[in-house]
This record gives sequence, C-alpha cells and structure tokens, in this order.
Amino acid sequence: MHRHFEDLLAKLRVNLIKMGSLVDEQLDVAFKALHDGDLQATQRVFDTEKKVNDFDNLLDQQVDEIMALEQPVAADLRLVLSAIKMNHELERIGDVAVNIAQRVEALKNNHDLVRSTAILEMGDVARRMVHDSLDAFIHGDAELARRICREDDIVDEMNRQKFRFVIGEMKKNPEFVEPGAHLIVALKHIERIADHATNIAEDVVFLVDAKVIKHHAADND
Amino acid sequence: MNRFFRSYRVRIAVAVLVGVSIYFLLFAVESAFHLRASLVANHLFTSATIGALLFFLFEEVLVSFRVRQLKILNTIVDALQRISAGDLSVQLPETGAGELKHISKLTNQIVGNLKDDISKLEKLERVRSEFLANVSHELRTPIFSIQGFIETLIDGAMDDPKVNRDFLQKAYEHSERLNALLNDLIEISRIESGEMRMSFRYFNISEFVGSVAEEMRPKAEKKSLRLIARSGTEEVLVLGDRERLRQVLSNLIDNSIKYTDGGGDIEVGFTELPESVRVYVKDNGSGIGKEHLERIFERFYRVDKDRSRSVGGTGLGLAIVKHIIEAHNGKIEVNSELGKGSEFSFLLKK
Repeated sequence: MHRHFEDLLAKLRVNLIKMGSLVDEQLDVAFKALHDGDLQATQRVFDTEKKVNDFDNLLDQQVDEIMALEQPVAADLRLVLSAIKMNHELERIGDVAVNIAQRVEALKNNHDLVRSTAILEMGDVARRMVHDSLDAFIHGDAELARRICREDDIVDEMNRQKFRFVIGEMKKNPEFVEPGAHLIVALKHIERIADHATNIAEDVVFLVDAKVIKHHAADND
Repeated sequence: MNRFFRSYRVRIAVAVLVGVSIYFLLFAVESAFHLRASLVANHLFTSATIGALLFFLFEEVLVSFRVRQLKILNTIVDALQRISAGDLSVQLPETGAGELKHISKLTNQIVGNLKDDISKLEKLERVRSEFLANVSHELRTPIFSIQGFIETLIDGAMDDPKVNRDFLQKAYEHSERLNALLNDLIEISRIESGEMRMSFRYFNISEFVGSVAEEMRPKAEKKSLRLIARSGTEEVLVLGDRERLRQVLSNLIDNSIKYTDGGGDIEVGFTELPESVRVYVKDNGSGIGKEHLERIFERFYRVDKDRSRSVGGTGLGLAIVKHIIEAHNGKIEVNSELGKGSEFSFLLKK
C-alpha cells in the first residue's frame, strides 16, 4: 500500500472522529438546553450544525476521491464503506439534535411536565449509545458495538412508556395538549437517535469483524 | 580388563602388532619359497592390515566423540534436575555438538527468563505490600480523627456550644478526606485494571484551558494566588478524553495552589507545536527537590508527609495524572527547582 493511499485513509478516519466529536457535543448541549430551558445553549446547537454539514460534504468528497483513484479492497474497503454510512448517521443525529433544540422554546414554560416525563432519562441512554458507538469506532471494539445494539430495545420500551404517560397527562389537563404534542415529537427524536447509534454500532461490527449484523442478520451466528 | 581393551591406544597398538607380525610372516614365507603368489598375498595382507588400522582409528575417534557428547548430555540432565528442584544458579557451558549447544543455550535463556519473572513478581509483591500498608495507614488517620471527635462529643462536648460545632465541622472535613481517598483508590484501580475506557474526541484546547482555569479560580483566590490562563481565543483542536484531561489539569492546578504561598502566581496555558500541543501548569511555589522528582508520581509518595496531609492530599493525585496521560500515549514532564517553583507539562496530539 503506497503512502498517499495511507494518508487518505488516515485523513478520512480523523475527519470522521472530528465530525463524531462535534455531534457528540452537540447532542450533549441540546439535552442540557432541553433540561434547563436554556435558549442561549440552543444557539450553540444551531451553530454546530453548520460545521457538521461541512464535514458531511468533506467526507463525501474524500470517499469519492478514494473510490475513484485507489479502488480499496478488504479492510480498507470496509473502512470506506463504513465511513459513507457513519457519515450519513452522524449527519442525521446532528439534525435530530437541532430538532430537539427547536422544541426548547415551546417547552420552556412547562418545565414540570418535561421533568415528570423524565425525558432526559431516555435522552441519557440514547446519548450514551451515540457516545459509546463513537468509542467503539475509535477503539475498534466490536464487543462494545454489539452491546450498543442490544440497548436499542431499552430506548424503544422507554419511548412506549413515556408516550403513554404524556397521553395520560394530556387527557387529564387540556393545558398540556400543546406542550404534550411537542414532548411526543421530542420523544420520537430521541428514539431516532438511538436507532442512528445502533446503525453506527452495526457499521463498527462490519468494519472490525467483517460481519453484517443489521436487521438481526447475525442472529444465526 | 575390558576397560583396558576399550582404550583406543591399546587397540591401535594391538592392530599395529598384528599387522607387523603378519607382514614379517609373509616376508619369511616369500623368502623361503620365492613364489610370485606369496608376493601377491603379501600385498593383499598389507592392505588389509592398513585397512584394519584405519578402521580401528576411525572407531576410536567416534567412541571418544560419543563419550564427550554423553558427558555434556549428563551435565544438561543434571542441570535440568537442579532447575526443576528450584535451583536457578545453574549456568550451562554452551559447548558440544550443534543440538546440544543449542539446548544448553536455550536452558540458560529459560533460567534467565525465570530469574527475571521471579524478580518482577517479588517486586510486585513488595509494591503490593507497601501499597496495602500505605492504604491502611491513610484510611486509619481520618477514621481515628472522626472517632476522636465523635467520642469527645458523646463524652459531653455535645452540650458545650463553644466546641460542638467546631468538632462536628472537623469530623466532617475528615470524612470528606476519607471520601476523596476512597474515590482516588477506586479511580486508580479502574485505570490499572484497564477497566477505564478513554473517550477520545477532538475538542478546542483554548476553550478547555480557559474553563478549567475559571473553575479553579475561586480556590486560588481564596489563598490570594493569581491564576493566569494563557488560553487565547483561536480554536485549536486536540485529540483526548476531555473529562479525564479536566481531571489532570484540575489536579495539577490544585497541587500548585497547595504548594504556593499566598501572593504567588500560577500560570496555566498551552503552546502549539507542529503536530501536538504542549499543555503546562507552572507556579512560583515551594518547588520539588531533585531527589524527589523521580518518585513524585508513585502512589502515596510524599515529599513532605506532614505538609502533604495538612493541605489535604490523598497521595494518589499525581499517580492518577500519570496514568491518564500515559493512556493518551503521552508522558508527563516536570521541571522544578527547590524554592523557585515547578512546571508540569504534557503533550496532546493535534
């Protein structure tokens, strides 16, 4: 393998980690803003979004260059393919972080409802899944990646429970109908974050072990 | 008798004697009969004698070689028996035929490795015992203090408004110290067992240095120290575990606060290098003597035991700092001069 190709792959990896670092932080700020009703913090989430989109374009460009000029094979090809998919997932997580930040204003006067729904309990699990999936990629830890995939069920169950709770609150008090609707959307966003984290974890298993586990493909192993 | 004939000199002598006798016998027969046939037979027997002589000679050389190799093999067997009995002072001479020489060499290597392993294990055992003794001592000190204060309170001080609050406050401080010590112990055992996973991310070091300095500023100001943050405003990305590095920087600044007298300066900042960033914390405090510099990162090593306890150190802070920096593939550097101050620094990848 020649030096130029090695450099291209190293840069691709570094940029993927840089993008992941931004998204990880963006998500952290978005959840804190939701918890504290902090509108100033939401601005940081919106500002980061631009940087995340720039990385999305940059990574696409790098992947195009590697595919067109180097025709990678084996582990190198898996890295490039994973980079395409992870880039997409990270960009989507960034979008969802923005969506959550957009709910802060609508929910800031209904703090009690936000806290009693314990939406952040679910947010913590989803955020940790994103955090761990990035760790799994950086450390090449397929075992950790597999563990993340199993955690998705926990978030799905939490989503169902919290959905029922919010509906109950909306029925009891008509004032909660509007903030309740925003909360249900936010819950859906968090559930999507967990799905994206699971997809990244599946990409890591593919990258490290060369095995496809998406849609429970590895159940028969 | 048998041994006598096994000697190769005797065998050669016998062979030469037999050969010469046959030669003279044939010479006599030839002289008596002047027969052409006897001349032919004479040459045949001469050749046979020389052949026999050579055969004996070759056999003797072989036997002597075998005896020598057997001797070496016996030495090796003897050495292996001694090793299996636990004697590691064995050193085999690396001589003999190819394979035997190789076995001797390998045996010596195995003995060397075993000696190294045993000395490492002995060192680990010594460190473990010292660690246990230190932990027990460190835990005992605050527990005894807490017990002392509570006992005094129970014995009547509880009703004395002049001291009761003060005693409770002191007992609380010692319980906090105990808590800090236990947290550090848990931390260090997690790091050393490899249980702690580093979450490497790219982050802005200038913002990071500024925010850690702001967190530590009240503590520095309480002691009338000037905490200067040279962090700049430009974004400089470095790769590292932000939370663990926050712990490192807080710990280093905290040490500077502890060992710098009121009115002194503490500076925290970073300098950019081509492929990395050098983060530093320096002060004009009491400094560290040269003889201690090598050992300050050891667990529970204290330059001044009394002072260290009085300022509330657990004795594990720098050991944790060293572990975290090593997990970043870095090395913590220290420059210090007694009475002038210290500078701790480490590199982070850009």
